[in-house]
Amino acid sequence: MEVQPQPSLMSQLSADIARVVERAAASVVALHLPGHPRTSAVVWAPGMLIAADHAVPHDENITLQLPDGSHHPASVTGRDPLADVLVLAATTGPIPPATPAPALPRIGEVVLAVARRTPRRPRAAFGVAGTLLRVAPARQGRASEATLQFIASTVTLQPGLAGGLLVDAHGHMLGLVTRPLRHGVATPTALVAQVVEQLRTHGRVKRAYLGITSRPVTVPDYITSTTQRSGLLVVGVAPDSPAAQAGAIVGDILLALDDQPLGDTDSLRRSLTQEQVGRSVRLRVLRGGLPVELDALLGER
Amino acid sequence: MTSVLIVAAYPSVRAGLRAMLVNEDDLRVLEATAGAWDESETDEQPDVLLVDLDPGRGDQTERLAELYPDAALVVLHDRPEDYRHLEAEAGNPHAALLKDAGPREIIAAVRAAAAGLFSFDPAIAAQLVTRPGSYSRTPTDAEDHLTERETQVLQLLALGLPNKTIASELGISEHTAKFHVGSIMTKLGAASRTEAVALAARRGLLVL
Repeated sequence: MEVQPQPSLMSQLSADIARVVERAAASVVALHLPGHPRTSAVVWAPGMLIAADHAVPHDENITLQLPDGSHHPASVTGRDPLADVLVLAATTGPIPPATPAPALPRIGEVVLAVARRTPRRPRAAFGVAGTLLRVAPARQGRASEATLQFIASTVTLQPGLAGGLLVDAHGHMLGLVTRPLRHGVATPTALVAQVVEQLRTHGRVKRAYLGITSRPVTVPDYITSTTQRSGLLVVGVAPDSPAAQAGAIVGDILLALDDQPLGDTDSLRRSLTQEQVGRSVRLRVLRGGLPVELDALLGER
Repeated sequence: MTSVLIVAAYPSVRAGLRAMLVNEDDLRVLEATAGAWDESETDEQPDVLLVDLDPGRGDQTERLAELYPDAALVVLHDRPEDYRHLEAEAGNPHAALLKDAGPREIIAAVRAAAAGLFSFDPAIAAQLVTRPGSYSRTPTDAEDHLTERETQVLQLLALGLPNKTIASELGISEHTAKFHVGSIMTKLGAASRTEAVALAARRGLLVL
């Protein structure tokens, strides 16, 4: 008499994972971009979708391709390149919005990435939450919990997951898969929610404003006494801007904003987050070869 | 082992291309298909698509690139000027040959594409070099000569605004806004809106 073997733990785990993926995939659709590889988008709310900003180079002629074979035009509501989130408006029909997870994942928690670059064929990848990355540091001691923290996971490297969902073991949305997944990075749900809310109410994401144009230049390291090798040469100061009021002049070399080194324009852009609006920041500047400090009250734009 | 899917409208062409490839030990011909328009046809993702370009289907390579996002494309063209789906094909490794290509060229192109390389018939390569805005992404002096309007559009682009909103903020038509965005991207040599903003900031054109 043969004994029916008990289903193994592994087979149960496997079935569970497949079930979670299937449920998550129901909220993920394919975006057709003329002249570019397709990408995924997640239904955030009825009529509203989110995708990875970097994966959607143009605003024109974006089409939503649903698993039932139907096509719908999608229009860009707005973008937040810093969070790498793009918000779209389109008919989403019966597709269920993703269910948000209540909090950031614990490190080590199992995560699944679920994308759909071709309308009928989802893709999935498996990993754990590796760490939380602070990509754009807010001011020391004032960093709000979810802001500008990204989830770095060990999800297997494969192309085409951008714009997909990162879900937990319940299938709840931990984040949106954003930066090219070489780094397995996702924008957390709470940050996505902030971006969506700002785009919905203001039509755009707020940014702090300094009021300079600048170009990166090499700085001798005996001047900075750190490993910082470059700064930002101020080539323009907008009249009446926070920079002008702080006394910045053309020819200054900006080395740091508070304790954040400014080696290139990307780091300045990342520093000018919404949290910095209305705050006073200290600019470390090289003027005529001598260090100068300026206090600027950041504006909003 | 490299798997190859042949896409050609005519059975005789399919048979001919298959015959060229079947004796190569490192190549496996999956099947030959007339159109491959329906993704349900095959579940196996080929490494390389060998496509006899149908000039009547303007979006053929684009569609194929969507259906097989991970496949490299080897495309046979009637005339050099038929190679115009540059953006669509540029995402994946690909080869652009003419239809008079022989087995040696086709097999070499398939292997090169599978290895992640791009290859072109000399006649097609010649027009790539001369065509403005194609592979040459070198920014020109024009980068420092954004018009006043373009500078305004750039500032709004930096806020992640879509063309429609840029248009209404500046009191211009959406079509005009789109035109300015395209012009900014060309002048900066940027492949996307987001890249245009990053490049403009780096070159001191964007007020931060």
